[in-house]
Amino acid sequence: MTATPDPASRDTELARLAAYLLASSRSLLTEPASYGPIRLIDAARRTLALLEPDGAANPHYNTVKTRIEDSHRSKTPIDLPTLLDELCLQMAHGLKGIHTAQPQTDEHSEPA
Amino acid sequence: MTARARNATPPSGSPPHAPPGSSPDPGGALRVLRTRSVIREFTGEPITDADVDALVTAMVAAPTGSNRQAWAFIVIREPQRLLSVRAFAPGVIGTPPLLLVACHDHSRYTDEDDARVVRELGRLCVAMAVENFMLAAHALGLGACPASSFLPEPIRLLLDMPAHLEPVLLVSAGHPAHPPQPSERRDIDEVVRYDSYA
Ligand SMILES: Cc1cc2nc3c(=O)[nH]c(=O)nc-3n(C[C@H](O)[C@H](O)[C@H](O)COP(=O)(O)O)c2cc1C
Repeated sequence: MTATPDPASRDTELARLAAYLLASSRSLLTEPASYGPIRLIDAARRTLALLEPDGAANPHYNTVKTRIEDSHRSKTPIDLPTLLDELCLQMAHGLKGIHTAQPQTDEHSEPA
Repeated sequence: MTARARNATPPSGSPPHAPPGSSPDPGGALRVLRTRSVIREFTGEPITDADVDALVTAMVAAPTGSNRQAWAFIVIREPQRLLSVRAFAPGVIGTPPLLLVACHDHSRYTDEDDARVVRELGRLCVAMAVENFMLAAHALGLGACPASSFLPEPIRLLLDMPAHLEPVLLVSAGHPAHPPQPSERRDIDEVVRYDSYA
């Protein structure tokens, strides 16, 4: 990032992310339908980028972000179903780490 | 087959003094034209004032219909403003240190102009200026990417732009985070014919 956000800027960053989602949604009304998944993938990358300044980086999230960046750079067509399946699985690994690290209080997490 | 193989005479674009078979490229201009490709990721390094001057000088040297120059450009380098503009430009993928807003200036026309014809030309002129800007960036070792996917109205508001300016393209520019990677092009024989389409 070229702009180093000050500590109070988290709200601004989130507001910009909301603006990006709305602007993407509006643009997609007149753009090719195939741009839809690409905009959502980029939204995921932008969201994950917001986690970094807090040191909340999780290796799985980092992998997802890096793979999205690599896909932006690729000049050959991307196999989106495969990429997205893999990215979703990677996110699940990242989130699973949180569940196993915390005590389980949710009733749905009780053994059957 | 090349143009030269098809034609006994050199292509009309060749300099008259060029010996047959030679391909002069003073200053490496042709190499710059051939090797540009879009750069969407940038290092955090800012673009110097001298480079910005070189970019905008090359930009406004572009051809323009009737020399009308019905264009206006906003160079954004202030990081917070740039990030807010980028939020309304889904086509801008990376976080560049510089964002150019290339506009068609509708105030440059007179009432007598054939508005339809002249105004259509104006957008072409803006595109030519943008290409000059991107080629100049490449020549300076910078990278750039045009974006047509953006919402003009929020950007107009963020930049205090008057109604007669119509944003046509945004261009991100900066120091490339990776070397340019040429994209595939259709075979030249498929897209270029000589003297007739047959
Ligand atoms: C009119 C125009 C609009 C474009 N819009 C976008 C855009 O919104 N976002 C983007 O990332 N690239 C955009 N591009 C860049 C093209 O994707 C890119 O030029 C193309 O893939 C060929 O790659 P190359 O320029 O590296 O040869 C645009 C290019 C043109 C000419």
